[in-house]
Amino acid sequence: MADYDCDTLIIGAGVAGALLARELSAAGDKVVLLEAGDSVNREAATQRYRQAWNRNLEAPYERREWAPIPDSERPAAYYGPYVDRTFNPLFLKAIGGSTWHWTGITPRFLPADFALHSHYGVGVDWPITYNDLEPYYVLAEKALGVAGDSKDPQGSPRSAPYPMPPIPLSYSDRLIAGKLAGMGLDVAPFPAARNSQAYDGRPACRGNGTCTPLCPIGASYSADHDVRKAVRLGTHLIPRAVAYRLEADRQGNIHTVHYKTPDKAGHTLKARRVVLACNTIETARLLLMSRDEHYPAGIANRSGMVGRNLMDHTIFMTTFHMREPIYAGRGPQSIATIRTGRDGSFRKQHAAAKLFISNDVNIHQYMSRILDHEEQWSEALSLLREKAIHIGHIGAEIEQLPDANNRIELDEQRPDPLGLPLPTIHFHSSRYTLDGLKVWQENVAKMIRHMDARLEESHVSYSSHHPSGTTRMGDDPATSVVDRHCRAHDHPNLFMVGGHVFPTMGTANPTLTIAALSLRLARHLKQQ
Amino acid sequence: MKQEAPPCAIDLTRRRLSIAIASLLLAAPALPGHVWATGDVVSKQHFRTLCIYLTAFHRLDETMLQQIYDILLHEPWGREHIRRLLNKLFPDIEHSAKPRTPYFVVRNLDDAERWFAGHILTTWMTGIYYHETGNRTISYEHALMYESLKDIRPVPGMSRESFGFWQHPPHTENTERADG
Repeated sequence: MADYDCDTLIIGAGVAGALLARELSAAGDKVVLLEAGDSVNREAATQRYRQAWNRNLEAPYERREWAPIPDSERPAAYYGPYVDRTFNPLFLKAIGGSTWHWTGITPRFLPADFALHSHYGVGVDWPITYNDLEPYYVLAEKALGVAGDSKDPQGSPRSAPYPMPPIPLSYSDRLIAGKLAGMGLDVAPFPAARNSQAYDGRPACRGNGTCTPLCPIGASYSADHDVRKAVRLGTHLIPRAVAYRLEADRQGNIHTVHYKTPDKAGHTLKARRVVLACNTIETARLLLMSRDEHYPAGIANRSGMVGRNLMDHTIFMTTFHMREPIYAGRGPQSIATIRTGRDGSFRKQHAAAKLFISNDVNIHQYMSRILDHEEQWSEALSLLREKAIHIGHIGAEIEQLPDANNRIELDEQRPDPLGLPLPTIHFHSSRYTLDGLKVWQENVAKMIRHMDARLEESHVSYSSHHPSGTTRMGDDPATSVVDRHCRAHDHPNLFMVGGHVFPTMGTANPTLTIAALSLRLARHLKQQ
Repeated sequence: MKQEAPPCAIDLTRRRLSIAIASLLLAAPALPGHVWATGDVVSKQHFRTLCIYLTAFHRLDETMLQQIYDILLHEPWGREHIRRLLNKLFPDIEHSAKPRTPYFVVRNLDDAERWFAGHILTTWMTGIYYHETGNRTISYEHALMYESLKDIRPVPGMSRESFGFWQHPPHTENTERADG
């Protein structure tokens, strides 16, 4: 131990790093947790959001010059000139990471999601199965505080109940459910890391309707809670610390981590083992930045797979107008799923989808449209009220298969304020996903017709801010970056955990699976 | 007549309203060329009358009204524009609050008046004063896009309701008209 500053150095204080730090510190490990960003004060963030004139996903959060993040309005500022505006995965650098601005939806992966190739001949299989991860899903649901219907596994068999009863459907959800029942479709509440009762020191949801970009009362889980727990257990948290280089010896052991502070000063830490938990984009970026004469392609990149197989959920949102009052937009932004589309033999031909009823009626968006038309000014509030009463949304998140050409690289021509190269993205949507998009949009259009509603528009984005897959897990070191225990094939003391280790991404929102993988890795490291 | 806009004016080409989901990029209204004379003092009561007429909302927040009034009076073109709109819409305002037409008809306004009416309307609806020298939030919760719907849904992020209220329809008259 004398040669090391700590047993485990974790880079990234989002949900994966927070849970891992908490678990290892509880087991007596000496843990250092590095975070590029800083702490977030919820009250200050809430005020910042209200004061913002552009209330987007980043609005509540202070910009940290030394730790830039992607920009909702200017994708090229972070991802470079090649990125399409419709593919702009956003994330935060902060203690608690991107769980500050998530919807809190926590479905598990389906068993088939772990074996896509075996079942349907597309994509790849994970080296672990649903059953391997199931006990850790239970632990993750307890850690995050998931509200769900324990009698309704939604295709993912359970060994334990949810810690809380489900979030009840909204009036609009129930109204839509009644209409869709005629098509044989079932509507159910998603499991969600959103309190349906006081839990773990956090209050029950009050339906503020701003889950993204911020729950003002902390009823939704955010990982800063587990960072605080980890610190109380002994984790040494170092915020404002931007890791930029891992250094390995000839045997592959990572012996030094280099980081910079906002004053641009360089620092080093030595650890017995290192865990990268700093988001799909930043983990790959750090590995690629760590190249040297012994590792010319970067750390953990003997396979050339680092940065490749970037995935995200394509998302569409279809707006409809109901004849009768529907009153959507009251309560949490997303509560209900329409139970179809996540699995079936169709996955041989096209992508699966997770359908949802959005409860997020962007009143300000409708107002901006009204104000853009002078002829509507005289009845602006009447028109707005009509929207608030009658408009609804059904959307879907659609799976994307791994493709080695979808990747991030470093752009040496675009350094960040610390002089570190920013990432650039090359991404295209596959025919598999685009065919799925067409099928599911048509299905939603049919539902809307069946409801005797009027379809108004359908918007598509190629990112749901679920970037995954840039350091994927696998048994074959030639085609993957980490093994089934999240250990780098090339470096015996380097581990990675996050959406970046996903070989495929199915249709589930990734956070619960990230949390489960983190808790599984904690168990593995404690046994070492 | 077309004059160069003053430095504080907002260019017509910037009048772009984003339709991006979850973002609020409202119009920075154009300030056309105009005569920038300082007009007579405009009373707050007359300004209130004007705002109620434009917004069709009767319960305007007094603090927000005062703030908008103060800001506009400090604009070099503010008094003149208020006065012109009042003259056009309430021809006998000193004696009667009766408008020229029962409802606001935008086509009755010239370009400058139309711009200014839109500027006031945008400020009330969004709670944000858009200006090229920097947009600023005047009020979040009293922005009419939230305030006028309080009987249907809480102001985003400011719910005082209890868990599960969303299961039931709101207790409101099922009217399609704005409160006014």
